[in-house]
This record gives sequence, C-alpha cells and structure tokens, in this order.
Amino acid sequence: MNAVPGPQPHAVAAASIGGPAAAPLAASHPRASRAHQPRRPALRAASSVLRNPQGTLGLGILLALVLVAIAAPLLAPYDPLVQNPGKEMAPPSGAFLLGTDNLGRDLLSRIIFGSRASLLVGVLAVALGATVGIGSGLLAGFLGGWLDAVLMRAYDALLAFPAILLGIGVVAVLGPGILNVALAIALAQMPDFARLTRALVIGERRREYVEAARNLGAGSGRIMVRHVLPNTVAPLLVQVSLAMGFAILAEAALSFLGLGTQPPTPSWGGMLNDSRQYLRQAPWYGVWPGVALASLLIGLNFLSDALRDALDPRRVGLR
Amino acid sequence: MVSFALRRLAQAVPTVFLSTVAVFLLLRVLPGDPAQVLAGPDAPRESVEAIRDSLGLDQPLPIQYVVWLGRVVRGDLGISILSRIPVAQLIGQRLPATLELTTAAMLLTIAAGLPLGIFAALHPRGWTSWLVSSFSAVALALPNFWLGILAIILFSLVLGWLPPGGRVDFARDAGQALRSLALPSITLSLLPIAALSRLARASMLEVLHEDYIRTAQAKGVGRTGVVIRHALRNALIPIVTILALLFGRLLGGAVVVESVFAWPGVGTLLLTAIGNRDYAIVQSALLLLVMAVLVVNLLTDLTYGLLDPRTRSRSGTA
Repeated sequence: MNAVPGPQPHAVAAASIGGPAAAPLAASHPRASRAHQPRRPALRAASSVLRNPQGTLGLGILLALVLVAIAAPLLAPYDPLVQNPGKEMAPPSGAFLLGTDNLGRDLLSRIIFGSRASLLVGVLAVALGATVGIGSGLLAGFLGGWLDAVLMRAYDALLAFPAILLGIGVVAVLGPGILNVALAIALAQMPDFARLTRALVIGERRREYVEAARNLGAGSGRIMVRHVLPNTVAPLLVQVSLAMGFAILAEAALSFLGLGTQPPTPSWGGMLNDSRQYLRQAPWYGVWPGVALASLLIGLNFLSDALRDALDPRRVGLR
Repeated sequence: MVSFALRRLAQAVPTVFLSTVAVFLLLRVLPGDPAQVLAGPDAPRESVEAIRDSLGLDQPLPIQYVVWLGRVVRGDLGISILSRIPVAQLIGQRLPATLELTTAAMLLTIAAGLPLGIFAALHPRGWTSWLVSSFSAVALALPNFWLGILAIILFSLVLGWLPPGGRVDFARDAGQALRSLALPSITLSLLPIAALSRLARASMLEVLHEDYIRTAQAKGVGRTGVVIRHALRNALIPIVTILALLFGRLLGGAVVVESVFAWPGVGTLLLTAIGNRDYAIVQSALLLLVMAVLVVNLLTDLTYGLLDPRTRSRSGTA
C-alpha cells in the first residue's frame, strides 16, 4: 500500500516496551503460532477476533441483528404499526410471542423493526463523526500550528458537554427525528476521533518513512492520506466499534426521553419510554425491548474488546 | 505548583469561553425571533418588545453575547415563559435534588468501585477477579434507563420494598428519603462502578509489577503496607482522572435517571422545559451542567498536579 516502505508499527512498539534489546530477541524467536498467521494486519486482526470466544459472540450478535434489520418485513409476524383493539397489553402467548403493547401492537414485530432505528443512527452518526473527526485530527496533528490550536480548543469545549446533554441541546434546537439525532451524536463523537487521530499522527509524523516520502517529492496531502493515515487504522478501527455502541446507546437514551425516533416508528428506546406507564399491568413491555438493546450493546462491547486485543500493538504478547 | 495552577487556569479560559458561546448561540440559531421564542407564542406585542429591548436583540451578536454573559454572571438567567418565575429561582429549587442524587451515586461509585478493582488486582487469577471483570463488561454496556425500569419492576412492583419514584426530603423524613434515594442512586452508579473497578484493577496490576514494590517487599514491609502506602498511592493518579470523567457522565446520566424515577432535579426541569419550549430554562440548565463539568475537570487537573509532580512541567514527561 505504501510507496515507501516504512518500519512496521508493531516492531517499533515492541521495541519501545521491551527496550532496544528486546526487538531483535523477539524477531529471532517468533512464536510458533505466529508463523501460520496471515501477514496482512486486517486479516490477522480478523482471525484473532474469531479465535477470541467473546469476539466471535460479539460479531455473531452484530451480524444477526444486521440481518434482522434488513429482513425485518420477512421475519416480523405482524405489521409493527397495526393496532389490535381488545388485545391491549396481552401477555406473551402463542399468538403474540412477546405480548402486546398498550395499543395492542405485537411487541416482537416492533422489536424486530426497532433494530432499524438503532443500527441506522449508529451507522450514520459514526460515519459522520469519524469522517469529520479523523479528517480534522489528521490536519491538526500533521500541520500543527494555529490550526491545531484552534481545532483542539474547539474540541475541548465540545468535550466539556456530557454527550447526552449535547444531544439534548442539539435536538432541542433542531427538533427530534432520526437525522437530527444522528447529527447530534456525530457531533459528540468528533472530539474523540479527532484527538485520537491527532495523537497517532503526531507519533507518526517524525518517522523516517515520512521524511523519505517528503524527500521523494510527495506533498503534505499525499503523505497524510497515503502514508500516515494507513498506519493509524488499527486504533481508529477500535474507536469505530466503541463509537457504534455509544451511538446506539445515545439514540436509545434520546428516544427514551422522547427526543429521538418519533412514534409510531418503532425504536427500542421509544418503546421503553412508552412502557413506563404500564409496568404494573405489562412488565414484559419494559423488559423485551431492553433485552434487544442490551444484547446489541454487549455484542458491540465484546467485539471492540476483541478488536483492541487484536490490533493494539502494546497488547501483542500480553495475552 | 503556583505557576502550574495559573497555566492550567489560563488554558481553561478559551474552553469556558467557547462553551458559553455555544450555549448562547443555542437560542440564536433557533428558527424565528428569539424574543418571540423567549416570550412564548401567545405573548402580547409589548412583552416581546420588552424582551427584545432587555436582551439588546437589535445589537450585533458579539455585543448581545457580552450583555447576556454579564446578566448570567450576576445571576439573572431570564424568566420562564410558562410560570413567569425567574429561571435562577427554578433552578435553585431543583439543584439540591440533583446534587443529592449525583453525590450519593459518586459515593457509591468510590465505595464499591475502588475495593472491587483493588481486590480483583490482588487476586488476579481467582474467580472473584473473573466475576469483577465480567460484571464490568456487562454493566458498561447496559443502558441505565433500562436498568432503572428493571429495578422498578423488581424492587417496587414485585417485591414492594422501595418506592418506584419521587423524592422525599431528608429534612422531612430521613428514612423515607433514603428509601426514595436508593433505586435512583444505585441505578446511576452502576456504570461508573464498573468503569472505576475496571480502571482500578488495571492501574493496581500495573503498579504491583513495578520494581519499587518488590523493593518494599524485600525490605519487609507487610502486605497491607505495600498495598496501601506504595501501590495505591501511585495507582490513584489515573483513578483521580477517571473520577472526573465519571462525574461528567454522572451529570449526563442523572438527566436520564431523574426522568426514569420522576426525581425532581435539574434534569427533569430541563426535559420538561424542552417539551414546553421554555428556552430560557433550557439554556440556563445546560449552561449550569456544562460549567459544573468544566470546574470539576479543572479541579482534577490541579489535584493531578499535586499527586504527580511530573505533570506540572510543561512537557509532562520531564
């Protein structure tokens, strides 16, 4: 991928931990299991995640719920918006596997369709937050100077807002709805991506391969995108998976507060909000949407833990 | 230390400035006339004009900002369009409840999170350590509003032990006050407990492998002495930082948890105000919560400087 070969990040990180003497030692005694691993970092990470039981479980949950969201019309036994008069708050039964809500709508069908709101906001928010955050972090870290100072102070101010308050503030101004919620969450995530990218880029900026590329006549833009960025991918990937979990949690929280996905569109947070008035008569109403939400969040947590173990060079050899 | 404190204070100035600008602009970017928004949709012309005059809305934005900031500093936060009560008074009424909830949650976090993490670090291969890390992995992922709902179902509706919501003042009935505080504060503290125990465990494990710990053990210092005097003191540095981060999350979480348990704090005031489009309250409540986070962050950095002299130097590593 790189036009100019650079030092392998892993080797350098190992040297910085074990001291200069440790690197050749590690190189001359490769662990037997390593010999059969794919050489590309992405493939190695994927195989490492799959060998980790929690990572496999997390990836499985995520993929399963993505499939559910895509195939929702095929899987849901009922239309999630159709009300069944006379069947309000029916307990779980053969007809309604998870029971019905206060309007007699099938809870299972609403939970199946509710996965769409969660995943859609998660993907949109992270795509926007990561693009802007990584881009500005790259510029700030590589170019430095006043641009760096201005961007970082602005992100400091943004970081001072607890994420949920930032979301509440943005939605209070723009009004509720899926797109505004995604925008609010993206705004909350930009500082994390920017600061992480900036720190990584500052670490890479003084490396020999950057100097080499510059001597070969590459401009700053080309060096940033083609040489520096690829070397920061691993930690950023971990951040993406963490950010997905955070975005999905934030969407659910905002919908729970009545500020996110608006009725009658089903969303897990919104369903939990509606359930609050009926907990005495229909406790299952307050349980099942949360089970769905919690499984997705736990799955994403497992996945990001496994990714971090697989990709963080400082952890190589620790496990 | 004095120069470090001054430098850190100077660093806080742009952050405070930018966040007040953000909260100030919140009302100005709303579609429509801010004076009309603040006065309410059905307000008579005169009161809209009065608000326009008092806020200086015909002035350029920077001057409006200075006027607004001057009022805020003097404690004038505007007037609620719905109740016609000064916002400062409304917030003053709700603040004790929020402080009570967040303080209780913070105490629970420290009381449970630190010992759990330290214990897990001292017995890294035991089943308790496994239990602590599994608990934190799961608790970190669970949404607190759902935990609150589950707690209400179990402890209020099924077992009937605790009230499902509302708040009783300590001055009126301390026993009932504790009972009403129990579910909200435990719900709010679960995530911070998980985060803190996780970090305390990692931090202690790292410190316990340092050479000076072995030296202390070789000198014959007892196990308790090593843990408390040598290990904990050094492990505390990252822990102090995460406590400040957790405080910010506690304040954000408090808004949600207050809503679950109908806790009459600043969070529920904020949410009701959003529903009523009572923007003077929205603006002030957000400003208050953000400033609280900024002050705690500042205090944390100063404490950090006291605990670890290295951070006082400009580069942070010298």
